Amino acid sequence: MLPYCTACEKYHWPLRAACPHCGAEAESGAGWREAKGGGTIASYSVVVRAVNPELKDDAPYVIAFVELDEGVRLFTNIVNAAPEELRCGQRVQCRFEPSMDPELWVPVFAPEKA
Amino acid sequence: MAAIAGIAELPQGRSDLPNTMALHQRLAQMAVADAGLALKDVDAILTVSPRADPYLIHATGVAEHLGLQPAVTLTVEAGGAAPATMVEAARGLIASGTAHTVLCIAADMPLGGVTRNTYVNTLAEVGPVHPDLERPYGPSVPAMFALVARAHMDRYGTKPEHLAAVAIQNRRAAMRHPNAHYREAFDIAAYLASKMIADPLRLLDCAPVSDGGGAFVVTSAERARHLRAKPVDVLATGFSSGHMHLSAAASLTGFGAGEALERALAHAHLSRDSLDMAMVYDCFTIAMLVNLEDLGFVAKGEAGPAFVDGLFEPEGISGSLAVNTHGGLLSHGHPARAGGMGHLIEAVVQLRREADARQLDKADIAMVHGMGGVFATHGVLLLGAS
Repeated sequence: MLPYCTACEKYHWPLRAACPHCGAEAESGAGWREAKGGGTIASYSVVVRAVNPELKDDAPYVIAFVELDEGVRLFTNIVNAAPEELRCGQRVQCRFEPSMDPELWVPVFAPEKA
Repeated sequence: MAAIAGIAELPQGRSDLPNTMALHQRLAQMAVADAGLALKDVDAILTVSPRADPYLIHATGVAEHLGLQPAVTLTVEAGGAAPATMVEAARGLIASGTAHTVLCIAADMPLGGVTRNTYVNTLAEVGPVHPDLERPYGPSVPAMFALVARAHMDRYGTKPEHLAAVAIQNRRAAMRHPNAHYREAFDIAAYLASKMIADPLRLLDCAPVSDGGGAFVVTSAERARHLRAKPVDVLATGFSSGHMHLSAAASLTGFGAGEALERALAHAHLSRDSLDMAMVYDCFTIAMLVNLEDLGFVAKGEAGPAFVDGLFEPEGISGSLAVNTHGGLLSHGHPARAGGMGHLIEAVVQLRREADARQLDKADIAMVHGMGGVFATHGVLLLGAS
């Protein structure tokens, strides 16, 4: 699900009280719509030295910007991939995994199966 | 017109002063003495709240610490664009007649003022990252700049050797600066051997954590001509604001530094050709390359090769532009919330022709660029020798 404005028919992220593209407020346009979960890697970095103490054991891990097919950019992790095989422009697919807070499941991305 | 009538800077690195207030006091005394004034002449104080020791209404606290009751105390928050923002606010106060002698101080003590772990955790918490939507993925400040570096490499073919050229030139400049934090030479082999922090950025791509910062006094250009130090005129300022979170930026490889410079050049009726030096915000090597391109000193994607060719060397080839003659944030030092003060101070020192071993032959007009966040907000100053 992604925030979607029916007034200008565009997705946006994160959720706001009014659409950042056309200014329509939630009552008149902004809402949620199903997203397909596919996108491409816009950029990525292998974090070797984690800053957050709770992530020290996870390093190295991959952070990335993924451009969803719906036209929004998400900050996320790339999982289930060897870092040296990653590249900008690569197709990835969304899945949900627990975050540092085990109660909170967040969208992460893995390379699409060829 | 307003002018910078006095400056102060202490050695960057580990301070032996007891706390950030003591550092502010020392810098305040030095800056007003440099201008040939006394602290009681100050009727406005502008500061940045230090990360090592954050205060509410920090400038008011500094005034109390100095034993002053100035008309105006203003705490500025603009990240690394704060020095330019302080100059803009100061000249507005002077133009309106609200104040006549504006003391601006930005200083921080991330090494001496707090433990390293506390500092790094603070950095993780307050970085330009969305607390709910982005922090769960484990971003770090180097990692955010690494995303820009990777995108720039992918789009323009930028290489580690290009980043190394930035780091090495800044270090060479810092070796000629007595206040610089890091002054030991290194070569490309040492750069390539330095440990990876957030691929493709290595340790030597990252600015160090330094105690330091500086102070300056702004007054009217007319009054500055009758004071002790050679005045430096504020010819123009320019600002831009593109995004807050990098995820919301229109592009991952080009940002708003150029818009800020264009606005400043238009105000001053100047062109890029008239600049004798450029102090460019370089918290990471990739920031130097991207900002130089966005500022329009070189085409997009060409800053890396140009740096390798020495086009931005202080004693460069013909047609070159001297960049960061003090060593930049990368080697002169990065005093946390006071980042960019060194750039402003160096421009004033060069324009006053007091840079000793670093002095440029031609030093009439300087550009100072500051940046807040991850390429988020930009402030540009055009300063002139009077």
